[in-house]
Amino acid sequence: MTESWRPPTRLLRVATLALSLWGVLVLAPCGEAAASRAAVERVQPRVVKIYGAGGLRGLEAYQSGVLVSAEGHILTTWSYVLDTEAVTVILDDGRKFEADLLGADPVLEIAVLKIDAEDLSFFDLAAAVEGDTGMRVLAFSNLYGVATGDERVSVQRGVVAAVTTLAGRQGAFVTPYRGRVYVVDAITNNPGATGGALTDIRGQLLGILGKELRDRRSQAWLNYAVPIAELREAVSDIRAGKFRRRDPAKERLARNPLDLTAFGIVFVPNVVDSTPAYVDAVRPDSSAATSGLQPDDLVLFVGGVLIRSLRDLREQAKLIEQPAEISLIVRRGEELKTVMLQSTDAEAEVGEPREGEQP
Amino acid sequence: MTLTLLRRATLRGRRAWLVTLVALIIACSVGIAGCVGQVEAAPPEDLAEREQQAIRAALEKVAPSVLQVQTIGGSATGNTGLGQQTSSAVAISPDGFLVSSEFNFAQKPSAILVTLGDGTNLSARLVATDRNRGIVLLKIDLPSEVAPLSVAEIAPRDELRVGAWALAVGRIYEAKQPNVSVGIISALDRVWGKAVQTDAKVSPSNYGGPLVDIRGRVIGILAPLSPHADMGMSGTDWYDSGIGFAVPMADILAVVPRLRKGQDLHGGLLGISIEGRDLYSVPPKIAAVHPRGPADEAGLLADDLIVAVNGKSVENRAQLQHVVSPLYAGDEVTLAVMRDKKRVERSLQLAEELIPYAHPFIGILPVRDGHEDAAGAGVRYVYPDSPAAQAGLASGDRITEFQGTELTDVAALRQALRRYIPGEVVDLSFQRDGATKSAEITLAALPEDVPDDLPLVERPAGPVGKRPRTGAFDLKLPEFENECVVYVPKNYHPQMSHGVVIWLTAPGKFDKEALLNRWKEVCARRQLILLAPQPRDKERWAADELDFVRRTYDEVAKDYRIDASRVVAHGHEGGAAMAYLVAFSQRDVVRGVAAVQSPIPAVVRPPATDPARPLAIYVAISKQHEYASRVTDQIKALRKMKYPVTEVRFPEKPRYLLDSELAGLVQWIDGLDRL
Repeated sequence: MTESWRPPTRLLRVATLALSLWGVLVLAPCGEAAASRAAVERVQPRVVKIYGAGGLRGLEAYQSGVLVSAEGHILTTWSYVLDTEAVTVILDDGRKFEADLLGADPVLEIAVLKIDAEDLSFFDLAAAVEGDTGMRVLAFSNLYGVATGDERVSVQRGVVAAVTTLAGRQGAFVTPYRGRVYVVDAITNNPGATGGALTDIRGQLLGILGKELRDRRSQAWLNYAVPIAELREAVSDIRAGKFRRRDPAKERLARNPLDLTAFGIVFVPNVVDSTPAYVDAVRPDSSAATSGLQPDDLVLFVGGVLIRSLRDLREQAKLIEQPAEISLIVRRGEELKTVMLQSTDAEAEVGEPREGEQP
Repeated sequence: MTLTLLRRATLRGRRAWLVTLVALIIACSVGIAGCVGQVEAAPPEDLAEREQQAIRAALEKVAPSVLQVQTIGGSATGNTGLGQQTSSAVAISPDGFLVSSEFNFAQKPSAILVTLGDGTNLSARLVATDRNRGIVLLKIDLPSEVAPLSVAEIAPRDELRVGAWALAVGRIYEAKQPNVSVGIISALDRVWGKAVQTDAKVSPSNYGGPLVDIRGRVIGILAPLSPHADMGMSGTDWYDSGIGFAVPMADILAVVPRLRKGQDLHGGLLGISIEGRDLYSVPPKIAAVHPRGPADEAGLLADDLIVAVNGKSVENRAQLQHVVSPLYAGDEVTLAVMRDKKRVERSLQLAEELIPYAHPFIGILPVRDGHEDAAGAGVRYVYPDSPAAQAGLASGDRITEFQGTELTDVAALRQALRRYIPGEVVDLSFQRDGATKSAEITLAALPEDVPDDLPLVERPAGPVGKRPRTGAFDLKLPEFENECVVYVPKNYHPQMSHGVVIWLTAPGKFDKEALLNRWKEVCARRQLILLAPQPRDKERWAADELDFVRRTYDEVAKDYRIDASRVVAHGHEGGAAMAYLVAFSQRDVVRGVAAVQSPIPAVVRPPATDPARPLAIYVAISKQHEYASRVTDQIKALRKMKYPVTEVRFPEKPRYLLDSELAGLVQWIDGLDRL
């Protein structure tokens, strides 16, 4: 469904594209297309085609973007395509511009470009709407770079399959952005589509199409857009010249990572990759002992975060500051029990805000 | 009211747009929904809004009975991209019975956690599995403070219509919020009558969730199914290709009473083989009756023509399968057959499994690439202590008759042997120094020990002629991103058939130079071609890459003389898991699988042995390997299934084969054309 497996070959990709275009054509006289026609008319002039670096094996040298001001500010995805002196933007009427990169936010994976133009149709980010599950949506992008010159970008349709956060699917996706996304049940996140617009059926902007993202476990693709609400502030900062540069990896690491052994828990040896977090022993007189934790308890949640294995716990612990008190949910027999652990370790205080952290 | 209106519109629109719909179902997952309401006079904007409302209303209605499931631990080896840790289930009773897809539990998790819509976590247990339909029954015990579960309303089967709305629902992203994909019912009674087909997006991420109609009633449970299923994993290769399946709820509820007792259910077997592979054009005539299987015990015979099953007449294999496939082991079936122009009826009970077929062994290696002027099968080696050795056969002899029938060549002997099992006594005639001798031998089972003195094959005299490309080169198939290295020995001889070693690299560890160093000399000595397809993602093999692996083999088989008896899938660690997948899924070509340091992936079920398509297994595992004990269990199970398993154990840490051990593997490969 929403995470979609795509046939890996070029041929099939093109075939899929041809079919989706055909679908749009065939459906032109249908009720819904009529309903969306006004939306399409409204949105298409506001979506642009962007050309830049790339063109090597498997890397497309193009993507999509949306106009966010009458004087030529363009919101798009931060990617290798923009990693060049010469970024070209082509409007829906075929006008071609050299664009300047005003700034980028590598964590949100967005960039703002500026072209020298006036009186353009644009999306007012302040007026962007919120989507919810089941909402019918339209996606506008230059997927596969199929539109050139004055050809307008392609339109796809679907529904919002879910509103979720990428962080919620820990480990499954490799992406610096971990915030809220609209998952779409159509195959929108194709090569070249990133930076395109996701709108409701009235053509009101909901979000910006993300990159191609594949679930490492299931090999399924995730089609998603980042809600405008997540981007608004960053865009205005970049436009105001407040350059943002953050190191995505560093930002998430805790200064003083969680260490459950400090509470008196001894886990079973980590023999296989997926060894679940079974308690092997509880140190006498420790907080774990006082809380009633027992050997053979299976730790399932630490501070509300699901723990699938000892390795998972080790990874998660790096992101959690050592707290003075933490709640665990364990499985004992067929039941789940909640236990609270208090740190006896004076060092284990919550640290000051991390470097680069948002207030 | 809105809902009723929409439904009517849907049905009327369906008639008007029938042709378009059929085309769209097949070709286009984009944009169906917009068409169905076209005949309604309502302004289009209203229609779109109302469709959206209807989708939301359906979602809202079914949502309380859809729950999030988390699995913790279990034995997935992780390299084959299978099994989801977060999935969905559907409540079928207020006191905590849930159904989901077997796919999410194949790795036998240590813990199963169900999260209710309000965020309450409860521990769940797996009660039983329906392996025929790929469904599991789960149970959670509800504490007194938790309200009874909301049970989904079921869409009556006779109300399901092709073209009607279908929503694939789950809770894979958020426990508190359901997710949805919108499509239509594409077909009913698919996969031998076991599934409803939809074009809503179905993938490993939402197996286990419900497919619901526009009224929010459950049509079925999303599951990976395939009409070609012969291994546990089949069906997943179709995810999100505009085709997905749901097992109808009515079929599930019918077996829930049996599942509640903790009884696993299996598909049922008749224990017959039917000639040919074509499903439709050939009448279902019994080619062979499996010894001591249900058909055998009911008195059915080879050459009986099946004309009806359970009173329903059948004219081909597809129709037969349509009746039998939905049934379970233990179910009664009545077969009507034509025998000598008379109709005979027999009732039998379908079996869960058949007594496995073991391939017989005479004890020789035949002369390869036989000379045209001599009929029969030349003997180039006699296994010590084998039936052939006991009967006095020696290398240089030529077997000319088997059970009174003259043999044209080695293939004829190979084919004749398929009708026999170890323990049976057969007659052979053979020629030695111009004289004909005969021998009576008791067939043995295939050997698992590897002799270390297999003789090299003599090279044909005379000029080699034109050779196709030799040495190491890259094989690029335009439709795949993957890369593949081929090594053909420099001394390749077009008159000598070569075995093929398909090397499946451990993910992330492909080292071309080391690989070639290891195999170059071996390939030249033992007439082998090395094929090293690589995964698209250097870090892991994906199940959908089986196709690529197969294609590389086909490509090589086109240009070189291949010894069909010596095609081996060989891998290390994750590559070995992939080697098992390759061997079990490409049975028409692969005759051996050599797995170093890996168990069979948990979700893969080895298929039954097949008289016509033998498969030998070579396992090398370190005693310190984390899965050593599982491998031991798997070897036991494979032997029980009558696969010949050659076992190599190391005392030290997991590693690849040393040179001396590799030599043993090469001898094993070299002996795969044994008879």
